[in-house]
Amino acid sequence: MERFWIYSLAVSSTYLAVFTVPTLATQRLAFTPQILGPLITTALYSSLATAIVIPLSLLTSLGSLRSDGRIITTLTTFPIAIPHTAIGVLLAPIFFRTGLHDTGLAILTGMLVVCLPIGFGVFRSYLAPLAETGYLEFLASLRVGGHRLILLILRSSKAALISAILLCWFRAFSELGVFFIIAQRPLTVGIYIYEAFMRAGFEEVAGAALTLLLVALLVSFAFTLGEKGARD
Amino acid sequence: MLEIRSLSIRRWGLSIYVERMVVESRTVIVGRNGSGKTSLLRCIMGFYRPDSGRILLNGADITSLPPGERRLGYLPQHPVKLPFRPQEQLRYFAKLYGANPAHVIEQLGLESISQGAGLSAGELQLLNLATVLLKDPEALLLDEPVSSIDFTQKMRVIRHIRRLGKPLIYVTHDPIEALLVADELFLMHDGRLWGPVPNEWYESAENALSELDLYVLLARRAQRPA
Repeated sequence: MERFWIYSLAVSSTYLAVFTVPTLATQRLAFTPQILGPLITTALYSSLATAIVIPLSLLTSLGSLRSDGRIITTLTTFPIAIPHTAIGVLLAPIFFRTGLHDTGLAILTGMLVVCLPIGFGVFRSYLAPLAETGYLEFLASLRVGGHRLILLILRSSKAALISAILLCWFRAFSELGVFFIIAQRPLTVGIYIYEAFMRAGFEEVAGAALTLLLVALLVSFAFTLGEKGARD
Repeated sequence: MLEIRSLSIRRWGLSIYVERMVVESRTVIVGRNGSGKTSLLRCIMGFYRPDSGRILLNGADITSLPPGERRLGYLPQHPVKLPFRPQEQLRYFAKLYGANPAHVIEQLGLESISQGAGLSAGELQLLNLATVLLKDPEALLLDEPVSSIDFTQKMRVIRHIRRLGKPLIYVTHDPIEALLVADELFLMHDGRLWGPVPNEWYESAENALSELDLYVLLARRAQRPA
C-alpha cells in the first residue's frame, strides 16, 4: 500500500509539474487583473449550473437503475463523446435564431450540457452498487418516494454528492468548445485566455493561466477536505 | 391473510409458477440459491409485475399496486443502513406513518440500540424490522433476513420474528433456519413451489435443533474459567 501511495504521489506531482514548471521557467510572469472579471463570471455561472445539474443528475441516475434504464444512460452520457465545438454547433440554431447567443443563458446551457454526464456518472456509480443491496427497494417498500427519496439519498451519499459538485463545477468552469460557438460573451475564462493569447502571445496569458490553476487547486483541496468530513 | 393464485413470472430465463399459496402464519420458503424464491418475494412486494395471476391481501387484489401502497412490510437480505441514527430513523418513519415507535421498540427489545450510533448487522436488521413494523403492515416479506449475520445475532433476530404475530413469508436457503422459523414450510425448486410440507416432517428436526442449541450452551459454559 505504501508503494502505491508513492507511485500515486509521483504521478500526481508529475501531472502538476508538467503544467507549471515549463511556464514558470520560461515565461515572464505578471498578474493580469483583467482575468478577475471573467473568473468571477465563470465561477458564478459554474455554481448556478452545478446547482441545477446536481438534482437532474440524481434523477436521471435513479431512473437509469431500472431494468429498462439503459436508454436513460445512453441519452444522458452521449454528449461526453462529442467534441464540444460540435455540441455548440448543434445548439447554435436555437440560440442564433432566438438572438440568445452571447448571453448568460447560452453560457448556462453550454455548462449544463457538458456537466450532466459527469454528475450522472458520479451518482450512478454510487447508486448502482447500493441498489444491488436492496436499498432503493427497501425505501420504496417503506413508501419513501419523490422529494423524500431524493433527500434521503443525498443524505446517505454525502461523499458522492461532494464529488459530483466538485467535478460538475470544474467541468462547467473549464468549458470552452460550446462557448466558442454560442457564447463568446459575457467573457468566460476560457474565451478570455484564448483571445488574450491570440492578441498578445504567451507572456500575456501565462500569469492568467497559472492564476486559474491556483484557483482550481484551492477549490479542489477545499472539496477534498469536505469529502473527508463527509466520510468521517 | 396473503393469498397467491396462479402466479406466473418469467424473468432472466427463470420461470416461476405458484398454483396457490395461502399465508396466515409464519410461512417459510426454503430453496437453493437461484431457485426463484427471492424473485417470487419481490414480485409479491410489487417490484415487478407477474405475467399472470393474482395477489390478494385480506381479500383485496393488490397485484397492480405499487410497492409503497401495498400494506406489506419488506426486509431485504442485506441490512440496509439508512442515513439516520437509530432513534432518529424510528422517529422519522413514525412521523411518516403517524405511528408511535415506543411499541415496536419494546416489542423488538430495541431500548439499548435505539440510543446508540454504531450497530452490528443483526441490530441493524432489527432496527429495519422495527421500521417496517411502524408501517403497520398486514403481512411481512422477509428475504433471507439473517443470512449475513453471525449465529448469536441470527438467533436474536429469529426469536423476535417468531414473536411478531403477523402473517409472513420468510425466504431462506438454510433448512435449519427454515425449521426454526416455520409454522408452515414450502420448498422452492426450479421455479416451482411445493408444499406445504407436512408438519411431522420437520417437528422431529426442530427437536434435534433444540438439542444442538443446548450443546452450544454447554460448550460455552465449559469454556468459562472456574
